[in-house]
Formats: sequence, structure tokens, C-alpha cells
Amino acid sequence: MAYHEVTYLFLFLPLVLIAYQIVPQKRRWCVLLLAGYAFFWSFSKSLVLVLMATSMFTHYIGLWLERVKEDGDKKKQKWILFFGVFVLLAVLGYLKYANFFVENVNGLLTAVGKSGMALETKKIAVPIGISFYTLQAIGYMADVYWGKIPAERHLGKVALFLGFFPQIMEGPIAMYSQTADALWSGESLKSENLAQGSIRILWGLFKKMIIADRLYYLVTEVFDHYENYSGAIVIVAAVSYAVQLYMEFSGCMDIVIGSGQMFGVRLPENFNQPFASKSAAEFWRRWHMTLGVWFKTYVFYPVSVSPFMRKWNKFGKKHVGKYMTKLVGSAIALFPVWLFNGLWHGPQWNYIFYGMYYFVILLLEVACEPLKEKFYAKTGTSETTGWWNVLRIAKTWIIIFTGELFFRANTLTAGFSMFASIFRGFAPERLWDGTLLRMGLDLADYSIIIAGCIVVGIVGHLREKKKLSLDQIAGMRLPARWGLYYALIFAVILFGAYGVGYQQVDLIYAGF
Amino acid sequence: MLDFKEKMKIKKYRNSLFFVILALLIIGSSAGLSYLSMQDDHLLQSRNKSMIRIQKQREDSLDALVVGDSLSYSAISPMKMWEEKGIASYVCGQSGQKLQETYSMLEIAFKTQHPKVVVMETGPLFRVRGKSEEIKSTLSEMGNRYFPIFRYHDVWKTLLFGKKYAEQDFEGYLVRGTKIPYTHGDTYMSKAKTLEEIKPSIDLYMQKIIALCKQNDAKLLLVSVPSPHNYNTARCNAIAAYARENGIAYLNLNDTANPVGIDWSKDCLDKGDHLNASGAERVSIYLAAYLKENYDLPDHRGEEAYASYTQMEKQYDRIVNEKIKEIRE
Repeated sequence: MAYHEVTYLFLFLPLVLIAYQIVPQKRRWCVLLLAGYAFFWSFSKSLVLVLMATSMFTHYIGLWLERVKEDGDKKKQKWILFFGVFVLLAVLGYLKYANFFVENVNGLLTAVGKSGMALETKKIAVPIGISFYTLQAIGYMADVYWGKIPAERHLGKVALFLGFFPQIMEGPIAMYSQTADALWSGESLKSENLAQGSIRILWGLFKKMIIADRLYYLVTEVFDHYENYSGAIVIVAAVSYAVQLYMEFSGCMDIVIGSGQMFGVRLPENFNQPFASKSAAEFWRRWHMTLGVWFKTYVFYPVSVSPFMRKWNKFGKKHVGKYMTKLVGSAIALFPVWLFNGLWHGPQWNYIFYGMYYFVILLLEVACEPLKEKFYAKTGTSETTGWWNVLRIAKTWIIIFTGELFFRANTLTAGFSMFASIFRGFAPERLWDGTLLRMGLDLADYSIIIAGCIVVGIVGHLREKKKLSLDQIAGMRLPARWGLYYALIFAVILFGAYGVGYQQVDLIYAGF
Repeated sequence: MLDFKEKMKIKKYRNSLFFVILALLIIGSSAGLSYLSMQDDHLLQSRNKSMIRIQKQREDSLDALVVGDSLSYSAISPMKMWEEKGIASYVCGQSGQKLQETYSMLEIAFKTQHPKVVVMETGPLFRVRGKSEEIKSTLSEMGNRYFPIFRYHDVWKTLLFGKKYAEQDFEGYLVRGTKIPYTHGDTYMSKAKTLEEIKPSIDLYMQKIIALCKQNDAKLLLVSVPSPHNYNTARCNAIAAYARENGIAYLNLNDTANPVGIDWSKDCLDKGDHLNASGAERVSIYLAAYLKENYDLPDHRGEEAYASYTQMEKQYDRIVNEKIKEIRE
């Protein structure tokens, strides 16, 4: 019952909305919590117990932290937080990474001729969304520890924060202060919220069903049979995957945020026109924003202000100069962020490589900062120069598409092989010799993908310029507004990749 | 100035109007797309063709209707049954047909046809995919049935880009001339008494299908065409038990006695999944005799109203006989 499926859109969501509305305000949180567990059950069955246990544990750690805080024992607080984070990460680590660890140990043992000592891998069922709710739970504990929020007394409120059904599969990763109160308040449904939520859901379906689900065929064909392709086709596949991932993930977020909005809950945004970024750093401020904010808040900042970093800053300024101090300091703070970012996506080497790839690029951006300033001074250009920004966006696109090539590749070796094949045989003629029409897509499909991307691009541009928002749509004259709604509904119905001739495509990020 | 209550009332009416217009647009476009599809079924991809083609059959012209998945349209040839016993039949099979779709297909077919017998190939009885998937299939098929715009939505591809999905069939039967033998012998069936469970979700739709056939005075006959890939003793026993419980006839062509006389080295399309033209001919001859004997179906050969069958027979023989000859050589 994924968010784009009929079961969710036409059965589950309407039923929850009805149940929510007819139940007294005080008990509405129970409806949302039960709906969350039912949704979770539909994917992971009895593993819902893992989510429940995580909620109880998180709630308990919060209360424990608060109690010790009242005693003023700082050291003990730190240990409690450490214990809480350790347990949650241990559960995540075991369920998600144990086999990866064993496989790599076995690989090493085989390499040194000790394959007889190889360990056995186990079939481990991983609860849906564990990577998302674990980060939310850790964030909650840390916020209580830092005194940003008081520990929640009611277990149900913490459980609902971790188990709100629209967020379970793909986030967004919210902070407790962002959603918990709205979830708990049980505000009545409002027609404005229902209308705005619906339009947001439709927009998500537009991106997912019209564009992403079509690109899936091309991407799957090239990445799964990469030995047969090189050069231009690999570039097309890498670009297509980046677009597919964006349309799918951001489309799903639109459905999720729209669902939340129907209940009057404003979930944090996860995307902000990432393809308009002028640097890799800016890209990560616009792409999967809640994950970026989480790492910044709970990894980058704590490392940046740690006693070790303070010592380094002092030492560095004295011995290696300001530039190197900043560079090494950035490296120390960025390294764990990008290592965890890569690992968070899953137990595969290409995800770890993906994290390290951005670590190196972001560090290079920091390293080149003085060079950039010199260039600006010499050429008279600045961050507002049009042609320069076009070049910067193009450079960022190359960084994004290369990163996504490794991210999507079936293995890290496959990623390198595909990357190398770009330079081996460019073969541009394969773009027009019919190769692209033998990948499960016809001319009509390509045309609708391009048209869809243009529409998304225009909407993105208008949103970037603050000329289009849901509030602005709500303020339009009735014929224009209704026309827009009908157009969107019929675009999804007519041009959506569903039914005969199409395959239902699972949500990519639900697998992380 | 309008007071708050009046404003709310206007808002309510306005919201209702929005949905009324939406419903009209969806119903209107559904009717439009259905009309276009009826005019030219090459606008549709193969799976949707049978839904349209059955509606284009001359009213009240069919005595037997065949439903099921790809096993049905690969193994049962209405033209062969016509040649053998003069039976007027049509195969409304779809690849991977789910029972929800079988039900819709029959609902549509019964609007214009009153067959004496509905032959249901039993492949879909074991296509079970969890509750969530079953709910999804039911909802999707309901949408398709009541608002055909969902079923025929990608007709725009043909209208705008001229792409047509041409496909030749003979009264729903697809001629398949390839031969990839099944090499594990005839031992996929035994006399054992094991039973595979027929899931409640399957029973739910089977009951609806049984009721629908009863309502339309059509006898329901379950048929399992020869297919080692899809059938085994436990499955066939389960269908036999289910048929007994529900008072339906069951014809198991996978029986150890090999009643049809399938030669797995020649009659198989793809290693034991489907039958090819040669296997289909054997099944159709057997089935025609069975239907004639048990359902007293009329022989329409020579009747003017069925002249189209006689015309199609020539083309059918030319294409199929050649393929069968190649296969059996």
C-alpha cells in the first residue's frame, strides 16, 4: 500500500480521514497512531513491534534524561544519551548492516585463503522506514538532552511522532518540535486543508506517474545490462536516473506532505528546486533537505563544537595558518556526515562511495573558496553574473549526474565500469539509431516525459521566484483554479504510466 | 453582506458542483474513449482488446464463452471447435487475467451474449498475491469497469502519434507456432490425494462469478488445460473438490491418462507453460466433443447468420495448418 497506489489514495487515506473526523478531538491522535501501525503492518507485519519498542524506548530515554537533568548530573546525561543512541543504532545496524558486514568479512577471509572460517549470513527482515524513524528518535533524544524541548510525558505523543503514517516510508525526517504538537492537537478537518492537500497529492502523482515511472524502463534497462551500453547512452541513463529519482522522491514527498496537510499537519519540505543549485553544497541544501538538516544538526554541529575541534582550531591557527585550519576542520566535521549519509542509504559499497564522493567535492569547494574570490576580483564577475551562474549550474549538474550514476549502479564495480565506458565509446549515433526506442519506451513516452519535465521546470521556476504557491492557487479566480485542478486530474489519468503496458514501480526511497 | 452561515452554504454548493462537473467530465471522456476503442480496437494494447472485441460480436451469437489467462487463448481455438462441431464460441482471455477481471469480462459479455456455457480456464484460481494486492486489484478493476477512461487512458498515444497495436487472432485465440518442448515427461501429475488451498479472496470472486453465470442462465465449466508449469496434483485435486462443493463441472485435461493426447515434445510453446498451435488443436478437438456431448450445443455450420465463421475458417486453416505441420515435422 505505497502512497501512489489506489489502495492508499482511494481507500486507506479517505477511511482514516473519516475516522479522524468522527472521533472526538481528544482521541484523534489514537486514530492517527492506529492508522500508522496499520500502514506499517501492511508492509512489515509483526515487525511493527520494533517500531512500538523504539517508541517506548525513546520515550523512556527522554524521561530519564529529564530526571537526571533535574539532578544536574551532566556526565550521567551524556551517558544516557550515548546509551539511547547506541541502542537505536545497534538495532538499525544489526537489522540493516549485519549481513553486509559478514559478507565483507567473508570476502576478506577468502582473500587471505581462510574461506573455511567464513561466517554465515542470516535472512533478516528489515522493518519499513527504519532508517527514517530511527533518525527522528535520535533527534528527539538529542533535543531533550540539549534542552531544546522538554521530555514528553505521554507515550502516545512520542509514538505518534515516530509513527505518523504519511512519513513512515520515505520521511520527511521531522524534528519533534516541527510536528508533534500539530499531530497531537487533533484539529478538525478543514476544506482549505483538504483542497490544498489534494492538489499537492495530485502534483506528486503527476511527477511520479507521468515522468518517473516511464524513465524507470530506460534506467533499468541500461543499469541492469550496462555491459551492452557505453558513451552517450550511459550519460542519458545517468541523467534519466537523476530525473527519475527527483520526480519520484519529490513526487512522493508531495503526496506525503499533502496527506499531512489534510490533517492540518505541516510536514517539513524535502526539496527546493535542487537542479537550480550552483554548487554541490547548495544542492544538498535543496535536495533531501530534512536528511541534510538532520546530519547538520546532530552530527556536523556536535563535531564542529567538540573539544577536539576547539583544540585543533587553536593549534592550527598557530602552526598551519587560517586556510589549512579551516580546510582540515571542515574535513574533520564533514567526513562523518558523508560517511553516515552514504551508509544511511543502505549496506552497499556504492552508497558509501557516493557519500565519500560528495565529501571530496564539498571539501574541494571549501578549498577553492580563495581561488574563486581571486577569480571574481580579476574578472569582475560575481555570484550574480548571469553567464557565470549558468556555468555553475551546468557544473553542478555534471556533479549530480555523475554521483547518481554511482548511486544507482548495481555494484561499485559496475559504477566504475559504466563511468569508464562513457569515455571509451561515446557513440552519439545510438541516440537516434533507434536504441532508445528499444528500452520499453516509444516516441509518445519520450514526448510526454519531455513535456512533463518542462511543466515541472516551469512550476519550479515560478516557485523559485515566489510567484506560485498553494496559497496563491487558492487565491486564484474560481474558473482558473478549477481549470487547473481539472487539468491536473486529467493529466494524471490520461498520461499516467499505469494499466496495460506499464509496470507498477515501487518507491525507490522506501528501500533505504 | 452575507453572514457566515450563508457563506458556508455557498461553499458547500460550490464544492458539490466541483465534483459534479468532475464526474461528468470523467463519465463523458469514458464514453468517448469507449466509443473510439469500439471503432478501432487497434488503438488498444493486446490485453484490453478482448474487452472490446467481445462487445463487437454479433448479439446473441455465441453458445460458449471462454475466460481465463494466457493459458485460455493459447490452448482453446474457437475456429477448431467450429470446424469440429459447429460450436460458436469466443475466447475472452487476457494475459495474467485476475478473477476481478474475469468477473468484469463476463459482466460485459452478458450484456450482449447469452451463452449456454462459460468455460473458465482455472489458471487465475492460483494467482494469489496477498490481501493488499487483492484489494488493489479489486479497486483498480472497479475503476476500470465503471470509468473506462482508466482502462483506455493511453489511447492518446495512437491518436497523437499514430501508433497502432495490430494483432491477429481468431475469435480470441492466438496462434502460437513456436515449439520449445517440456522435457520432464508426463509425471507432473499423480494419483496422490494432496490438496492446495484455494484462498478466501479467490473464493470470494468465484462465488460472484458463479452467481453471475447462474443469473444469466449459463452453465459454468472449469477447465484446466494441459500445463505442467501451472498445474500439479494438489492444484487439480483442489479445483475438483471446489467444483464438487459448489456444484460446478470440472474438466481436468492434465489427468495422468492424458485424455487429450498431448505430445510434450511437440505441443509445447515454452517448456511446459503454454501450448502451441499443435497442442491447442488437440485440446480444442477434445473440448468441442466434450461440450457437444455435455451441453447439447447447436451445430451452426451452414447457417447464414454464421457465414463469417465459414469465411474465417479458410484463413484460419491456411495459417494454422501450416504452423502445425511445421511443429509436428
